[in-house]
Amino acid sequence: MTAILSGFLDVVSIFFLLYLLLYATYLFLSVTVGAWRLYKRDKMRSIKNELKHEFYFPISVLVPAYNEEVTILDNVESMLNLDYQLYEIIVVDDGSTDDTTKILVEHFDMIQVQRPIKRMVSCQPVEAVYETRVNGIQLTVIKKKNGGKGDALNMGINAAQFPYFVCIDADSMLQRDSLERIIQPVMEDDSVVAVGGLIRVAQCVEMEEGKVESYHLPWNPLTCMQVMEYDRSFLASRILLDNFNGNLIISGAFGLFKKDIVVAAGGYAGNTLGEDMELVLKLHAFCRQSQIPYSIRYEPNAVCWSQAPSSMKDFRSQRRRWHLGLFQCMMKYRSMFMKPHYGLVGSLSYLYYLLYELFTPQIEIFGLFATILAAFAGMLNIPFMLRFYALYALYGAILTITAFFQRIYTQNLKIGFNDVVKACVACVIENFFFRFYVDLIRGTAFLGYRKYKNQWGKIKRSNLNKDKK
Amino acid sequence: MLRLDISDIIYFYMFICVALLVFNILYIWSANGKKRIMERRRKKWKKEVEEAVACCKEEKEIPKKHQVRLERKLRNINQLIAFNQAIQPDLEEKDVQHYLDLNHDTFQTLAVVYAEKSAMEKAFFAYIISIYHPDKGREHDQLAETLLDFTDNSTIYCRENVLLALCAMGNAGAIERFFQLLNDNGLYHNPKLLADGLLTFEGDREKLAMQLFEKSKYYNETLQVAIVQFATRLSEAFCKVFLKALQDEMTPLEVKFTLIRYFQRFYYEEALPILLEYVKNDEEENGGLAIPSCAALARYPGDGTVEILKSALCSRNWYVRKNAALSIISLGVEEDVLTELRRSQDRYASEMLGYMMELKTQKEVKK
Repeated sequence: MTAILSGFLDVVSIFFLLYLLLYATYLFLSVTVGAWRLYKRDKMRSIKNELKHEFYFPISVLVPAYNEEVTILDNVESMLNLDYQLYEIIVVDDGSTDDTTKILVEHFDMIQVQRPIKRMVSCQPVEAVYETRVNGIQLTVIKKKNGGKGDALNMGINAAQFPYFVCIDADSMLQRDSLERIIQPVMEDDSVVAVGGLIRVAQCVEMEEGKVESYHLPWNPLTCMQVMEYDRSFLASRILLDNFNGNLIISGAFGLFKKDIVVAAGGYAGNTLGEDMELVLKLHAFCRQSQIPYSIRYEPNAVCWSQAPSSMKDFRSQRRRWHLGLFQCMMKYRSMFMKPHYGLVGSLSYLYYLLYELFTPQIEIFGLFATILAAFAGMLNIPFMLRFYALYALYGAILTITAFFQRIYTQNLKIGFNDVVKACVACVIENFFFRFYVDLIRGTAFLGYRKYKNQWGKIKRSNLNKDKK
Repeated sequence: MLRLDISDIIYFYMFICVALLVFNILYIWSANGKKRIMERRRKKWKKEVEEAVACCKEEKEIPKKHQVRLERKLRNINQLIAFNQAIQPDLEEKDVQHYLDLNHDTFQTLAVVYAEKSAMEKAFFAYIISIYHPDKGREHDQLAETLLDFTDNSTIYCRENVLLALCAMGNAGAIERFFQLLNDNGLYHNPKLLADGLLTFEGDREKLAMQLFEKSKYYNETLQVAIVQFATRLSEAFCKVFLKALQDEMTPLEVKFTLIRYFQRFYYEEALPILLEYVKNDEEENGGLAIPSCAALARYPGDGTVEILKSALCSRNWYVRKNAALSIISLGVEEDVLTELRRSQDRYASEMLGYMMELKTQKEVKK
């Protein structure tokens, strides 16, 4: 019996050491590749290695909104001051029960029109369309029957006039140059079908007319830890995966898509929580099956400032939704896994998301179970376990702080001593403790899955740029 | 054994990450120091260039020492950046131009040096030439030839800056060779970037467009589109040749779309029959040419046009209906005719026409 248990624990320990080693290697490669690429890009921009034109492609900006009366006005106003020649804004109110539409219609003095909208992708019916022009920019508000975020985005695609569209969350703000930056990969390569932007935490900045006036880490520890987490994941894995066209996610908070390809692929899925990831997976599958040369890119210089949850309740709700969305997408596109036809997307990218995103909580619970078992059997090397855990968490903390400073210098942000201390403390807490809390949320995400699987996430919003009000 | 190895690997990773972190912190701290060094260099160059420009003004020779320093120091990219900053702000453009013209040979030598450097540095050198163009007007010049060599193993930024440099130099022959290089090497450069770049050409743009268009049948579709887009932003001088191209069955579909947009911008009576024909034959095999044709017909008033557009309102293609409705409204068809049309057409056509009429009314109210 002891021999069997010992054998089992040996296998488990080898599995975990390999699992952690692979993850450490992945993070290491991500941060070093990301740092190198950002450094190079920064240098290139400083010596005029960029495409600077007065006018690029016209873009439709789609803003799906559900009960966003608190932030919608700030959001739309922030988008009326972008350094971009030709774009339109389409706000799709997905059957809000609050005054989202009313606020916009009254503020911008909008007129109701009988606009025919071509149904290229399926969505719930229109209830009313309002239009106006502000600063020469076409602003359209479409009130429709509730159908979910993907459905609202599909309505936006149907109404979009231009060949490229950008989707942005209603609680986000774009920097003045965001559209100019996110279109750059399309100018460089005509096979680009989608581009993801960089999402940063809006609670850190004060913005005026689309320009960052000041940057400080928030005092709220939960928000502060999310800043560190965002910096790490957007610096690290997305740039690494971008090197082989392997990104499986373009955040719903800010992404650019080529409309005709999205339409041909069938648009957003209405019945999923992870509609952003689902679309990217769908584009990979569609382009590869149709043998269309394509590229899905990530542009770290196109910045969108998005609100992160400030309370535990909202945070739990958001992460739960993300994890369920991930699960739905991974299951829906499981046929991609390890199929030679899908290349590195189906192997490396899929495997990463499967092992290190989707199944992390289960693997960690299994690890905990094995540790308890080993302790009972008297086979646990406690000093080694503690040393290894401390080493691993410290490594994570160093990686995170590296990513944070990388962001600071590549975006020419100025921070004070207070921020440096906050960053150091936050990344230590995040790596030693916070990640277990996140895993706990992920592990319990499936409770009540049937009931909540298609709902919009509800997070308490505050005014964007509230300090300016 | 395995335990030890894994710890060692993590220590190693950690060491590299700490090194990266230290690099980042030093980079942030050194930014001010770098600025100071750059400012010192800039001031030094400014003083030297001002003296040299003064010599040029007095029609004296530029000091040999200055020319030697230019040739030696500007091989370094940081010195080139400082030099660029030094001559940009205060000096009179014509004085700088004269000074640079006199230093033409230095730039030629530097171009050869930069041709051996990385694509990033080549791109910056080409950018410098694009703003100071010391060779303006010389049709056959070694500098242009060297810049063309920059496109070997280059990036899109380098190619973009080379195009802008050639345009600033007003060298049509070199631009033609640039297009040929893109074509022969299968290098993608967005038509929009090409057309915008060509618009900065310091010379006879119409002549350049015609010269490029004559060669365009040897180019790929992207380059052909770029040339037509460039011409579309110039004048009606290309109506005849473009109509011929539009009638040519060998012309690629994407180019035909661009040609139709040319006739939307510039009225050419002889183009009307072919535009009407495209709308009449609104079939799948037509490749969607009816869509831009409907939009273009807004520039071609007449009973025949309105009749064709009326029938296009019932097209199976949504975009044809939309553009037909837009054109009917912009042709100024009388209100009662429009109302009649709304009643008699199918539901989609009626909706589309109704929406366009609504927009027109709104515009008039706002005016």
